Amino acid sequence: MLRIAAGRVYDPANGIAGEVRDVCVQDGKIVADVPGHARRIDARGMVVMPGGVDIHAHIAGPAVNAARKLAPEEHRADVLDRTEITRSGSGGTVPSTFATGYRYALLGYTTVVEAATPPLAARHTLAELRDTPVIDAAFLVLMGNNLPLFELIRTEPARVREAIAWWLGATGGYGVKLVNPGGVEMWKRGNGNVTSLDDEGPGVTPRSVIETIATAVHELGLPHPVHVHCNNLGVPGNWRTTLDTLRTLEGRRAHLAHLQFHAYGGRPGGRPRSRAPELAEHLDAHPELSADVGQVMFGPAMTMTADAPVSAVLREITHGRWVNADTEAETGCGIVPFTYRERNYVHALQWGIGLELFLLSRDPWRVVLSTDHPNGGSFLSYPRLIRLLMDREFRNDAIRRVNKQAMKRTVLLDDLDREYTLEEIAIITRAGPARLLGLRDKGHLGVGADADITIYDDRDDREAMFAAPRHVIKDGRPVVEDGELRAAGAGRLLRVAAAYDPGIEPTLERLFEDRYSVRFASYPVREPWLLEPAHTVAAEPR
Amino acid sequence: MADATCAGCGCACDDVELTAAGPVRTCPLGDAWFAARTGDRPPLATVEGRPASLDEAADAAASVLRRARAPLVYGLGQTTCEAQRRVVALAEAIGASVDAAGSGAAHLAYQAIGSSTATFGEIRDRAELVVIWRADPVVTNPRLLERLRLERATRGPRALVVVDAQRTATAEEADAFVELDAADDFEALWALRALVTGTQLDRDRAGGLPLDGLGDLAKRLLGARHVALIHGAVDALGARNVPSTPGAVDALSALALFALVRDLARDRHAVTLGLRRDANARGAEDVLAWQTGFPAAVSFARGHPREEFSAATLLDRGEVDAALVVAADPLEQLPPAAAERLRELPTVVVDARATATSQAARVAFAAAADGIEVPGTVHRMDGVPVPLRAPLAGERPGVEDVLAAIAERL
Repeated sequence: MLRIAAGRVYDPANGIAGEVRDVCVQDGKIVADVPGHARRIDARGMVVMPGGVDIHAHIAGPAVNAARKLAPEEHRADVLDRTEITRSGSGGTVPSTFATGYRYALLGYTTVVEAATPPLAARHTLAELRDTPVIDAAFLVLMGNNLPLFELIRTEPARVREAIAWWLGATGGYGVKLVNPGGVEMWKRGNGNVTSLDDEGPGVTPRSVIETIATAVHELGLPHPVHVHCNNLGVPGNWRTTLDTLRTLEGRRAHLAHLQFHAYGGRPGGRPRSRAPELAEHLDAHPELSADVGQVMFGPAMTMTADAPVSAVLREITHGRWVNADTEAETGCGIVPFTYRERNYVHALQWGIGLELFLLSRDPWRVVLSTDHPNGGSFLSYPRLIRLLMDREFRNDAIRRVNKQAMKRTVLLDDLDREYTLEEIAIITRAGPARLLGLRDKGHLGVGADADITIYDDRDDREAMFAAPRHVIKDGRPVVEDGELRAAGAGRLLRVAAAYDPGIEPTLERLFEDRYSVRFASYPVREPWLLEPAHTVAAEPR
Repeated sequence: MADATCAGCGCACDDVELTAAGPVRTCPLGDAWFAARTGDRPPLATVEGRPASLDEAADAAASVLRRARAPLVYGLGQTTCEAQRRVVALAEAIGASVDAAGSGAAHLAYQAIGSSTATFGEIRDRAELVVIWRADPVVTNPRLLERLRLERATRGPRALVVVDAQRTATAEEADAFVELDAADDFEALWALRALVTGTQLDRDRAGGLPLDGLGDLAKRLLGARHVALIHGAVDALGARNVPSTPGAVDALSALALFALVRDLARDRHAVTLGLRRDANARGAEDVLAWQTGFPAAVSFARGHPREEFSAATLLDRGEVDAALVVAADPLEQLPPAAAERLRELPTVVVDARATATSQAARVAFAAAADGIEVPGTVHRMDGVPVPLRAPLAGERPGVEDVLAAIAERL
């Protein structure tokens, strides 16, 4: 039992914005009250928020691990010693699993969504998550370039819904991810990419994939809507594709990943410009749609994506290391180490577009924080990003430092006076993502919620404040005290339960045999040690 | 009759059945793998060659490892990812160096320029041209050609080319064979890079390179829309700039091979596949990478992971004072000098079978066999996680259980 006494509480989901009050914890949950002898944390002068929720990051699985193997120099420079309670490890832009768990916890984050797992590799992602301590984690299953699903979309679109529910059950996944639908498959065939939603592509158009799968996910009533990485990532002029995608999705719930990378004006091959204002406005007008920003932060990053053709383009820009990994019937994967530089026009523009999306969006519940870790920068850069949003002077100093031509292509030189409040930060870093993910026990401090709580010293330097929370409570247990890790137990797998008609299995088995190199029987993950401990969220079919 | 996954090599064939008469759909390696892990089994544990209980042996093993100041942990490639993660945890707890048997040096080329890879199904369904570079899968991974649909009868218009020092069994299956000494790998691959990017080669300066064969190969590479280059083991350069394992590709040549694939990938799809002997060699690399950030030999001597010399080098240099061997037979695998050093050290072996190393060990455990009595996961050579099943029930503790019993006594 625990009483967090007299902190300034930010719990936007329950309408609490900076009220001084107690938060009580028992048996891992928030309760209304605890007896006087309960342990007490004196939080006077401190800020109390729900634990952070990261809606889109790359922390586990074959792509992440391929990047780890690629960057030993980063690990040599940033090692973690073994302690009484922690395993050793290494950091950099792609930390070892243990380091990932510890560092998220030390940042006040208690829930993270791994955003891209090939279903064939689910066991690998699950095994890494098992070695990622403290945090609860979910993963999204890549379905936008899946050959059996393409076949169903062509021939029996009404059954796509059953197939998706089967796939989620077979992998332990939480939600459905589309990455450059149709385009990755074209690229794997050696046929380039798709450039519009109506390209015939691999026998289905990107639009038909998006429509059919978004509808299926919507009808299944999954807690998190379809999570879309649009076609044409990074291509100047791609905002039209993004807008076309949003219009195609209309009427269904949908989440767009790393919107910044999809908000470029200009012409392909030419210089990009910002179309953030138009996309922010469109999102504002459509309450069923949401996005995470995918902010770019200056400094080292590791681009890793299922959008393999994009990595092939980046390879020709950096002329540095490049990894490609094709997964049969399902997806591609590309990795290119990358550094974003203030003086570079494109990088500065990307940085500016991210800030524009944050500052121009009127509904923080639907435009939430991400750097697409580690693509736009490490999760460790979130505190700096928060300061950029909260501190106009700090932001304007930064704007004056970066490439001027790029800033002229944004609205940032207009000295936008918006400064995010602590309440809004609590929304974009926990309450909003939890709501978008349909995690009803997370991201808030109401009675019955998971007791995942972060307590910060209230410091003027918001970067310093958010970089080193004073206390972090996970499931009611203190894991960080006075800024130090004190406990590092296992987190849980967050997965979804969606019922399906077992009649889909023979159909899938038939579609499966010719396309995979493992047997159908080997495919579903049934091993309890990979799937537990878990918290299962039930779908609510419409 | 029960479904099984064969862990006899890096192909991890999951279409095998185990019947009373033995395994079905296996290859000679698979048959040997099953045979070594069924039938008469060694006693559960021995200490100094005498049968012992699990507790006695675990006490003895913990005492060996506790006393060691510079322990070596070796093996991993023939057990599951589940056991490997425990092995690495144990290595960390005792401040050991850990080296996966036969981990090779492909990571050096990978870390220099990256690579392009694909799973079996992609290569089977898409590669119009497959080049097997200094590898003989017909011998080392007998079902590979079948699984990639590269046998003469099944491959249709797809072409298979083998590059090797002599006509191997795999070369007999190929449409074309290019004879090439291992010592010429780098020059030949660099020459191919020149040929596929349209650079003229000066025949007078090409030394012993078989330029006609390479020119023909370059034409084939340029003519295919989708190519796969399959290579065998990659070794660090040893003395006199030749790989320490005969028939291996050296790390610099692997870099040239990856670079060639990268060049080819500009105008077509191009991928590589590295063959693995041990069923879970790839898993060992993966588990080490996710737990430490480094894919190959790692030392925990300083409390954090650091890249380390190979087990053979450490043994040669006398920098090891005890060893924990997990599912490997280093006395048979290591170079003779290193093996002799190992033989002199107090050694703990955890394996499913009896090996030369287990028979010479101070403490040996014959654990339940992964994939026969114990389920788990292996990462096939292409990285795909494949479940091992447990077609036969067993009484014995598995590798993981034995490691846990040792760990709790440390």
